[in-house]
Amino acid sequence: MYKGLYYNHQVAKAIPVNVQVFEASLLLDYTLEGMPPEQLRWFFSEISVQVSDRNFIRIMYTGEGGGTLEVNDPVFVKEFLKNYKHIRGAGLQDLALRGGYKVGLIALAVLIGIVLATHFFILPWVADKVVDQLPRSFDKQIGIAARNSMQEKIDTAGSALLTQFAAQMKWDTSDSLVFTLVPSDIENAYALPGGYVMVYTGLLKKLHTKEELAALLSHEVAHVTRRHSVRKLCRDMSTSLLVSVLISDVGGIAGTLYANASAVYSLTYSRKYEEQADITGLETMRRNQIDQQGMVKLMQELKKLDHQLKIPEFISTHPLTENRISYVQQDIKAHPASARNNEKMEEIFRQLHQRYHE
Amino acid sequence: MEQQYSPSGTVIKSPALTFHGDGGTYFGILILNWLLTTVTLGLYYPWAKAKKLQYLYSSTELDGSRLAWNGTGKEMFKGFLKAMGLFIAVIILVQVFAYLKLPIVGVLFYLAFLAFVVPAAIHGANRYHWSRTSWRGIRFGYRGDRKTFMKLFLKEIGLTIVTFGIYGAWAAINIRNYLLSNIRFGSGEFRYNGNGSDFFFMNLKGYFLSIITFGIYSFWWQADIFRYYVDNLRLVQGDKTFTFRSTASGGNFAGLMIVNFILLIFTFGIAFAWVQTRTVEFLLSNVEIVGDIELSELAQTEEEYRNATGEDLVDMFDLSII
Repeated sequence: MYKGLYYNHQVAKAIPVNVQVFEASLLLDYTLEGMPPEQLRWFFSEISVQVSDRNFIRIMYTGEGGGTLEVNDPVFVKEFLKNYKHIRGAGLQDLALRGGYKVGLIALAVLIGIVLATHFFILPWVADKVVDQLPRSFDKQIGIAARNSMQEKIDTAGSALLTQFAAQMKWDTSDSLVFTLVPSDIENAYALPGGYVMVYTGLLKKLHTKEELAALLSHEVAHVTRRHSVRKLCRDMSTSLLVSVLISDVGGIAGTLYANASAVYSLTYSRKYEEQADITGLETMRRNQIDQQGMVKLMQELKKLDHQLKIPEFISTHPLTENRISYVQQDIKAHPASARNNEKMEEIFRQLHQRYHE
Repeated sequence: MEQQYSPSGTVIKSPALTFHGDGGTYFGILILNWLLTTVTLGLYYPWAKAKKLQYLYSSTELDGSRLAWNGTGKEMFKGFLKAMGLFIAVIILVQVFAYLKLPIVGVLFYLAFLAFVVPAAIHGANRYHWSRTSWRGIRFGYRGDRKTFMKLFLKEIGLTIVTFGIYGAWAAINIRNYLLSNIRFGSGEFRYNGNGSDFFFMNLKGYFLSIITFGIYSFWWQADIFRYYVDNLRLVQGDKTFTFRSTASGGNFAGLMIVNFILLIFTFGIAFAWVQTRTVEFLLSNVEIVGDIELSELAQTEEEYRNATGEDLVDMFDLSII
């Protein structure tokens, strides 16, 4: 027998009742002043239940006339739920009500797990599948848009030489490649989707052999054929999608944390792309019977540049040059190939060399 | 407690309003909601909202009995679908106008839609929200008339726009007067008697003093606003009344808000559940109710209203109604 309060849904009068719990019903007993005692039997099929914490339960009668029973007694809550659950089953929410912050922490851990799994496995996979479905013309459009927005100065005569140089090599791509030489002291080169390869004269000056230049172009073209920029774009977009899903629910903090973590992570996959471009570049060189050591020499040149900068690997978009040299050498060992001297390339490189090495 | 008597000879009572919510449990509920909402891509939202409100209401006690939230996720999901349908229809129409090279007609149509739907949503949300709130089995209710409210709302908003926002204080109070004065607590009727001028000058004073004191006065300003909201409220039943009074001072508000701030900063925001329960507990414990209404005599007068479209529209517009 438990004590509770009964409301008849007609006036806000709290009527004290005695409650008994049966296997599939409740029995309420009460006596109003000057009235004979009354009994109400509520079957579990005719009630709805609200549990707010382990002490308090509200049971509403859904049959004719309605009525509410409120009991503030942990023993009753436990016993009633034990019987009631046989029929209705327990919900996740009950766990939160009775387990408090522990359930919250477990749920938080599960949620973080789902977010991480989505981020590291599901989204990259989906993004790659999406890219595979996109036509090559999409890359071209992005490349053109990017090129127009950059407004690089162009060294027309130098670009023509570079294009001639590249024309000596066979490229395994359906994209039409455009090679451009940009007058600038920056020691860098990059490729835009759709086949736009840009080389700064600052970097060209540092190269001593045609094999190094061939290695550089092979590396950049590999970015294009492997569609690295478009893949990165799709991954970043899926990241921001996930961020917005999270933000809409909890406000800034989780979203910001995630955005920063994923920015660091995006560096790791850029490094993966660089490695892929190095290895694919070597393939291109072998196919064109160019001495693969050119790649190693290119790396050594880059290493000299590195000494001026000193970027720790975890924030760098490129793998450390040491690592690059070692895996490039391994790959060369695994795939030895004969090399043939291409006189015409030698001649064009000599002209480029003369032009920029004063 | 010593018994006091009102002029009509009835007993003066002071029912307590307290909050029993526990930050840990509330945290569990919110995180679980968040988890389920995320894995269902947002579809769980109405159920999440029902769970949250159910907990908050059931943790609020008036005169020894707890409030109840009776709304269900299913109702709010239906409302959500209707609200979405409405939005999609409007977007399609605007697109059709754009396609017909009549973008201005489209924009005008959209503005007209907003002017109609915002007050209608507030009206609907109040009807649903109050009808699904109860205490000792007695439902609250909202008796406002939609047409009257829409006219009032459009007039007040129009005047606010014309006066470049200066009229905003009067608009806010007039809208508040209408909404709150139409809320029923069974056979009890709420009354709100605000005055735009008082509200305007109070805010003007709060604004300038806050600037002069580098923000320190803002706690007292906050206390003034809270007092203005509480002290102008009454509950009337027949010839009996309950008056409401705020006992929170600016110093109390400073204590609450500074601790909240520290909690949030040092837990990287994880303490938000505790911050919310602390705040509700603070606000409710600072409302003093005094009067001669016999709460147990409040009778059931309000009908059930289960259409949550307004409630969901209000959520979509991110309007806070109270």
